[in-house]
Amino acid sequence: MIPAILLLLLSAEPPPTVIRIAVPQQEPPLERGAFAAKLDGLEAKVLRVQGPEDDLVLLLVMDVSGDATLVDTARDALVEQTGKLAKNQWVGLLRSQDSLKALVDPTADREKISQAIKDYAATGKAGLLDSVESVASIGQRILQKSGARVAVVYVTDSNIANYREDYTNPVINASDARDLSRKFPDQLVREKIQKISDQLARFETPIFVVQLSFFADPINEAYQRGLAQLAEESGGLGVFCRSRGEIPEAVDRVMMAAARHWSVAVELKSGKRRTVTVDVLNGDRDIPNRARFALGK
Amino acid sequence: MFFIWLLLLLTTVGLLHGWQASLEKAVEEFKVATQEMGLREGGPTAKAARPSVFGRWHGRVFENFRNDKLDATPHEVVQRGGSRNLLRRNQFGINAGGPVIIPGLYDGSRRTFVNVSYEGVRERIGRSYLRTVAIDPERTGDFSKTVDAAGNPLPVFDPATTRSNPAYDPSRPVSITNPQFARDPFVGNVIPATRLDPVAQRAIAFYPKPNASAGPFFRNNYFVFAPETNRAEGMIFKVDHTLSERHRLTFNGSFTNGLAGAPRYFNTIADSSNNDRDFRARRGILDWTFIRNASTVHSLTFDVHSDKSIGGREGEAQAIELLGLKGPLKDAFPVFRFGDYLPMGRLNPINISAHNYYYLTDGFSTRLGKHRLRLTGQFRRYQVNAYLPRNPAGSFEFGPSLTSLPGVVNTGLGFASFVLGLAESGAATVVEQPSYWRGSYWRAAASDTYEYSKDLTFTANFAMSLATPRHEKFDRFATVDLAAINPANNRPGALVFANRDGNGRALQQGRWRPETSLSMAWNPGGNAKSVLRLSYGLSFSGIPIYTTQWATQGFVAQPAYVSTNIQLSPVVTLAQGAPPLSRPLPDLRGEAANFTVADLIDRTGTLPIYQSAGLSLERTLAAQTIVSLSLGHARGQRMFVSNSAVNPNAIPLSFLSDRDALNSEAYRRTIRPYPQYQRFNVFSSWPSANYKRNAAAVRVEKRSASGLVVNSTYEFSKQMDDYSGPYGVQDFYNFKNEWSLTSSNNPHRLSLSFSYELPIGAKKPLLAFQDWRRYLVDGWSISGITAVQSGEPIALRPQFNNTGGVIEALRVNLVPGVDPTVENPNPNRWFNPGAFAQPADFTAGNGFRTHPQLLGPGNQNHDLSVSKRFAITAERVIELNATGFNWTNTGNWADPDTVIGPASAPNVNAGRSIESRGGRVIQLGVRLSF
Repeated sequence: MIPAILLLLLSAEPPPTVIRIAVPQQEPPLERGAFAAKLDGLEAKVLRVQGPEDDLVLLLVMDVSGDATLVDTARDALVEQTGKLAKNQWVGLLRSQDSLKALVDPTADREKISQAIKDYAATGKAGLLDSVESVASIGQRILQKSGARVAVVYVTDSNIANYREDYTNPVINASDARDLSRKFPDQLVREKIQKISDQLARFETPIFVVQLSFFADPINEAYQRGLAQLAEESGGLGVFCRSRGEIPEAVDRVMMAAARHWSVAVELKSGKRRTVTVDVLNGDRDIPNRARFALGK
Repeated sequence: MFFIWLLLLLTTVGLLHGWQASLEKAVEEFKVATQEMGLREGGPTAKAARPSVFGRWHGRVFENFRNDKLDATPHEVVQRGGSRNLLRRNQFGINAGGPVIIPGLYDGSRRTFVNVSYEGVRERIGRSYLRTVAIDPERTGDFSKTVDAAGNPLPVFDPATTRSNPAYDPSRPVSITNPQFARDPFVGNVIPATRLDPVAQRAIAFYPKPNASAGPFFRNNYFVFAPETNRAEGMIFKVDHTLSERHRLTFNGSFTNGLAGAPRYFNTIADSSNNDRDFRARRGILDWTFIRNASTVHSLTFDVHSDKSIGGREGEAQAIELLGLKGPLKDAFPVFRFGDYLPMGRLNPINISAHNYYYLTDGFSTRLGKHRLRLTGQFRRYQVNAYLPRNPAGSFEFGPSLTSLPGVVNTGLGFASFVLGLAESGAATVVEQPSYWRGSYWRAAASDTYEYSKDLTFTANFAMSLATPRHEKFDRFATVDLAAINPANNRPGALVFANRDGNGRALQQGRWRPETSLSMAWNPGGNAKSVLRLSYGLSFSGIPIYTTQWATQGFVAQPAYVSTNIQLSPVVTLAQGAPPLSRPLPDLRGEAANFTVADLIDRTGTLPIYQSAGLSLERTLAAQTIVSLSLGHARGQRMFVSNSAVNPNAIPLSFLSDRDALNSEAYRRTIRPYPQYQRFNVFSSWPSANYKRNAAAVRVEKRSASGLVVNSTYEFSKQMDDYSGPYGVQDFYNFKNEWSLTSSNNPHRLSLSFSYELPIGAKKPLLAFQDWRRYLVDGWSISGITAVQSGEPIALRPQFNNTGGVIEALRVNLVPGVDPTVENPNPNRWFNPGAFAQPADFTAGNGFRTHPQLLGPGNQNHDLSVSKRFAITAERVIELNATGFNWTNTGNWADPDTVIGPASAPNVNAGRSIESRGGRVIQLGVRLSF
């Protein structure tokens, strides 16, 4: 009986006891000591607050395979922005097109990161949708093991038609003149985004997205909206560039938002909830933040 | 003091250690995690961390279902007294994709990926048509009840009684009071049974009887609600293989097979609706990408596309024997046309075509300083095989002339001429072999994108392309050469043949064409929220490779049956049959196409030019709103057009003053530029037409935080040209006079689309249930598309065209001082027909080809889709979907009757629209994603 109970206890995943909430920096700046939180409307204990000056691991994920002019502009902007990061803000580099791959481990060596960004070849199949859960899970592990703040920044120019998986539902039988099933072509994309959204709800890492190339067709519009939704639901930010001139500013905005975000650890009491609703306050200011987290597996 | 310094030192070291420790722990964890997930270069993959082979495959299975029981009965059916529709449709399919892993043999989990989609369709759908057929008495020669467009009795004259009118006054126009020829009406307007043509009577047995009475009078008396059966299945297959970090291969393959059935106007061998069509298509694209370095990429693509289409129906080959029609005719029911009545027979009763296209494309792109360069070379090879005999069983026109009082409009009837078996004109084609067309195309292009500054980018493209003209594999290629001397009459214009008499295998010239485009994107004042774009493009059309047997005359025979005078002499009497061919095929004489509608290709190498210029300003506003304003101008010069817009053998309108003499074919031949030809068939490839289009558009995109996304676009456009429209060109020698609104120009277009994830369920602000109720409220979304557009310009036509064949598309006259518009256009009175008049005999109309003020009824459509998503597991989801196409069940009015009759017998239907079309269709869908 006792071994069975022990086995059960060992095999069962312990419920989370803490939730780390990504909070964007505000103007005027937030005060470290003024944070308070509510879980499902009830006051919760704030265990730890990390701010813009605290350690940060920034996982930069490249997902670019399109117009080299845009990509090169983004490279220049990224090199510039990584150079501006503080010494305790380390950058790791991954690429997600074709399949997810680690290129440079997180490091304070800006030269190494810059060179890797410049050497990176922008071709292949888009990979953001296929990789974002894996990257979020890496971020989650780092968050749990190291205690440093973690942010994921995707730099992408993906066109939804460039994925290996089929989200565009292309016409197969061209002779089928009354095929109305493709009249609302964004359904597959929206469904995929919803799936990923459900999966990302388990992770605490904020995700930031810079889309370098804006596509105006209905499927890509749904895709781009979906990226923004995923970023916002994770506590991050999605920025979309409609011209090359916007890229430097967009990269700057996203990198700064990632570097300056706050991470507020709140105690979570055990219960049978599947999701928890979070409100964060700083003094008497109600701070916009990621609102819901999924609990358990 | 020492202790204080020691404390500070220890604190600093501790802080530094802590900092280093957290970040180093992070790096360590990153390494471990990426190692376990197999994300590191050269590192082993931890299989335990990966899902099973099947777990890494994703896809969907779906079914979309439509049934008329869910739908509204279409308006056009209700208006004819019907209460039912027919629609049975199942569309089903599967998609699956993932890495290729063969346990124990091959692990392509990071190298080789496959995606496969299959889709099938089974459909039966009702189609409705409202047509006019001969009323019952007319089938047996009784025209006593037949009336004209004004409802007055229509007299039918006996051609056997034709004689010169001794009282004819040549100084006055031919009219009912001054006929040139006298002809007696049939007694009681009934053709005696002994005069009925036996072939026509046998054909009438296959012709439908009236079953409706939409009117006016006996018109629109045949309503068809016919089923159409369609079947299709196809597959798309994609493989993506990474050879190494620098080399990648992708292959896309697809096929589709199916049957596109055509609804029958009537279920006999004489049916004149379209062919059923069996088709198949295959495509394969192999692409190799070589990444030289971060800024230089090289790609090579080979694309093969093949398709085949077979049109026809079984059981028609013996139709000629059944009718007893003699002549060089075979294989199908002949085409019989009788004015506005529903015809019999089909133009292309048998057709087979097959196309093979091969493309080899090499691309290279690199960066040089602020320049991004792209070089592309492409070679295309076309193969088109066609067996497409037009009218193999003959096509015969039965106009009113032979049963009219010669020269007097609103007398005689085409169907009366038919029951007498007297055809005004006819044509046939004798084809012994298919045609095998070949052509190729070369293109070299360079593109440079220059980044002048952060806010300003210029892009320039320049391409040179060479389309080699088509040739026929066995040199069965011919055209009339307008400069060659015809052996029969020593006049310019003779048939010439490929690879003979000094001609090359291709009868046209290949041309290098320079094409260019320039564009600029600028953020004014460095403001990234505003983008100004300018663009200009110049391009040319290639020489098309058509899918018919056009331009093979001499190897095929195209006899034209031409009457010496359509008012006096039939060209063919059905009982006697069509005349035999004068010579066997091939007939490779310069005069082999004489007295036919001869195939003519343009040999000057002239190609259409297209130019466009655009200006747009896009501004990102607050609250996630984006507004775009755009202006566009486009023009085309020397565009390829068809026989309705060009006729190099047209008789100039100045000859209209010769009046009734023009009815004589012998006289017309003396005034045609190329008298040895009836006309030319340029088959949509004569470079002569022009158009201009100006448009202004505003687009608003709005995304709200609540999950509502709205896109809306309004466009105002004006397009003018000198060729378009349902009837053609009036004066082939004065295209300036043809310049008017493009017949398909909808000046106002508004579109609105939205999607909304309903704010209910988990992770949403409302009804965020945690219990079983979340299954009910999670995952609801709604989408809609609305399109509203104004009508197209109205093209008016006079009821009668008595111009001796000089004008093919006669226009109406404008009545001075009468406003063509009405205050509240409605289906009973869309425009004022009193503003227009039938031109006098042998005069051109002075109205417009398309009216500058009158637009047809507008059109609107509203679609709505509601989806509910059920998450079974993290990866498995079921989505239910209900879509209402035209969910408001809006009927759109058909264009009004645009035929203007003479003052003596006005078309009482002119300006009226007699039906609206459309109806709500519901589609239910279910999709399981995994």
